[in-house]
Amino acid sequence: MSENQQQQQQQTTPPTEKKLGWKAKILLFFTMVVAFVFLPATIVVLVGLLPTIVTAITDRNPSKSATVTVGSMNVAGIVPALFRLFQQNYSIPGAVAIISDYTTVIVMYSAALIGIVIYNNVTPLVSLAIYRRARLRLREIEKRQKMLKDVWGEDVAQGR
Amino acid sequence: MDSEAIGQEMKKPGLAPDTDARLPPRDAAPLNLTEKIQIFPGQRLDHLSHAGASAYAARNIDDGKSLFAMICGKAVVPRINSIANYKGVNTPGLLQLVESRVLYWPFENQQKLALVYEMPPGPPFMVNLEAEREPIADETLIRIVLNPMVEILRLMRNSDMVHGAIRTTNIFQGGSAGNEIAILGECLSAPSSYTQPVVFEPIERSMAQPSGRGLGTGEDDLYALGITIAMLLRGRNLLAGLSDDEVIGEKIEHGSYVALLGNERVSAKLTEFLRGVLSDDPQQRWDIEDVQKWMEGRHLNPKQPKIERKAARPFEFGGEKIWHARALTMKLTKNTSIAAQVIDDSQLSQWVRRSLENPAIYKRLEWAIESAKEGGAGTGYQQRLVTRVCIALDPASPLRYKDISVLPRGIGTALAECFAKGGEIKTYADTINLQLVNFWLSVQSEISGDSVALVSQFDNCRGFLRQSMSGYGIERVLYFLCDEAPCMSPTLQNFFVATLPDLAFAFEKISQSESARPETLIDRHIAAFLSVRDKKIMNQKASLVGSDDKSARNLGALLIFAEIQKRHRTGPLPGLSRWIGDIMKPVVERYHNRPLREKIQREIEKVKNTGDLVMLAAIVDNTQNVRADGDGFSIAAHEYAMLSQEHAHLAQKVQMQGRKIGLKAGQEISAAISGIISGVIILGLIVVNFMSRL
Repeated sequence: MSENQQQQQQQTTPPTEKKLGWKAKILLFFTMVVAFVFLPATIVVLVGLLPTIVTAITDRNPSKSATVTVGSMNVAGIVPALFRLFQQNYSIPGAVAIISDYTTVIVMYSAALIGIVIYNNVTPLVSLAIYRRARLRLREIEKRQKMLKDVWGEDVAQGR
Repeated sequence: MDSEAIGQEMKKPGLAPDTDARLPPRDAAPLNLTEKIQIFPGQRLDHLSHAGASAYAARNIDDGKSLFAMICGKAVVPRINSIANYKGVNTPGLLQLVESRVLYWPFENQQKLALVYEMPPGPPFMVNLEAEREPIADETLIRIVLNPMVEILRLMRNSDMVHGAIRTTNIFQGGSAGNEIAILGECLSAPSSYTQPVVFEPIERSMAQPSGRGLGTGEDDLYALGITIAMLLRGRNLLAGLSDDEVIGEKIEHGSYVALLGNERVSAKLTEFLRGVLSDDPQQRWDIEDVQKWMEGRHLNPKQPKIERKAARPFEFGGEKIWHARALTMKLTKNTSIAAQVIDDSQLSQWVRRSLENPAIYKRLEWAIESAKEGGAGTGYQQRLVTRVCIALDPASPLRYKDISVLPRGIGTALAECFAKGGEIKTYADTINLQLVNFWLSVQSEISGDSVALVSQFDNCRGFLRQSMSGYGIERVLYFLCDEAPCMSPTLQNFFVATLPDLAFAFEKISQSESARPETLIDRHIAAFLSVRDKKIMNQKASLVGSDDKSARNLGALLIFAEIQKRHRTGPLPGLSRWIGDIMKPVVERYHNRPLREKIQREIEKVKNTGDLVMLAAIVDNTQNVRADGDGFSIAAHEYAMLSQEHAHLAQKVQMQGRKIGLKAGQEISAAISGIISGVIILGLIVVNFMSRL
């Protein structure tokens, strides 16, 4: 197979995987660099955000609202640990010591748990309120339409 | 001779006035026409009555003056538009009109027009046309009859009026011995020339039916005066005992002058006058100026009477030998199918060309035949052909179509009579649609400005006939051509409605009996009557009155009567107002807004008893309300549609998603709450951390 034929085959074969764009590639590259530069923090964050990562994997909602809810609280939970890392011993052993401290882990994961509690309670509560409001609106519309008929007659429904 | 004796004379066959089974009994109680005038229905005056109106004795209550009242119906249209002009002719030689107004005639349960005149001081010069009397000498005749009659005709000419009823039986003897004067009788109770026996009309007019002669001219009045003078001169009617056709035949054969005066000598002075006014050629006939010149002593030397040219050989038709084209027209119309046959096989054309030797008639005849064929030889061809051929043979003669014989200017009054008597209206519609008047005018030797107006008038009539909506059709033609015709609506059959206030008052009367109330107030007749009598009123309401929607028609009626009440200041019409108020419900229901409907209905109930139709119309047809209601309804309908859309959308969502309807929003709110709490915590930690460092 000549070189030209190979090139032609490459051009005609459709790509089976979505390739990252150049902007994404640059972003990924910088993230990797930053993660590598701040490796101790990266270790703490990765361990601390485990509940969020798990939620993100299991959250099938396209808006990823569960991930956002849990993640927000989870981030708040790892911030004290990060402060401690930066203030006391910013090193890999320091990071390992922090993530080995069960109190710290409890704090981080408790925050994520609160996120889950919020998600599981606020969502149905709001949903119910909206459902009730919709039923109420339907009744209001029916009442208003009846009133319009009373004032303008049945013809108002036909618009003539 | 007293009135009763004259009445007995008048009862001779052929001359008796119209008899009616519903004549008032002889002991009928007097009727008060006004506070001053009393009519005695039990005292019918046959010698003053005619086929169109009955005369009854009357008197002035104040001074006891003897009067008589002509009680006129609708079939023979009284000359109401000439009443003012008649009153303006102020001369002792004319019977004075004392009062004219509509009254309820209980014997026929109808309104009639009463025309009250002074009672003639003496009997008529001749009680009927068969009667004989002492001949009157020339000079006496000129002094007693001719001079006052000419004066009347001069005054009438100045008032733009024609008498149309000058005859020996309508000129009365008046004055004292040695100071006698002839008094000319009334002429307003029937159309011009309607009451004239054939002998008093010029040949061309005498061939028309009485109701179809139309308004004559001063020359026609002078012709009638000439015939009157001739009869009084001879002391009898030389044509007495002859039928109408025979009278016309005699005049055609010998000329009017010879037919009425015979071969006996007449004084030179009167001969000149009689030859002038009795000329059978309308162009040669004297007018009032000629007569005045003659009276002043100037000699006008009228031409010898022009007798119609006799054919070299007679034309045989229906077993008769006919020598004159004019006489032939009278026969042709009596047997249309045979007439059409002799025309179609050119017998008539050959006779005209070879025996009559009149190229003008021949040319007209050919044109008439050609134009009749233009409409095809189908239905109505024979009638069309014969009518046109008769016009061609004798252009001055009336239009003879089917059973009518009318001059163009008399079609209106003839149509009014036909309507009132329930005749064949279609014949008149056909006459107009076939453009027979145009053809008639096109063959006249003289085209006047009046002819142009006639063409335009009948063009308008054809336009009216083409339109079928209320306010048009043959009814519109009637009121357009006969501006004196009272409204012939079946609703108003017991009323004499000649003006718009009359119409309002008639409906006020009708309203008093619920069973008499018609379904539709403004029917075709009334709409047409209003369209002609007051265009402004109808132009704005024609679409309402002609609508298929009953509520629109009722609204149209209200607006029309309100306009009449406002413009003519008729005063309150409570009966009509209540009636219209009661039928306004469907009109009020045209408003969409229920509270507004109720408000309007309440106002109607309040106003309808006051008789104020103007106010009622303002309530029902308030432009502001109508507009606000329309706009409001549009907005409401739009809102309703939007709500329906929203309801459908929301109901579908609720049905499909149930309680999960707000799940997405709930998730988003959870995320937001979580984000806010997290932000506050982080911010708090940063602040605490920062503070602890200080």
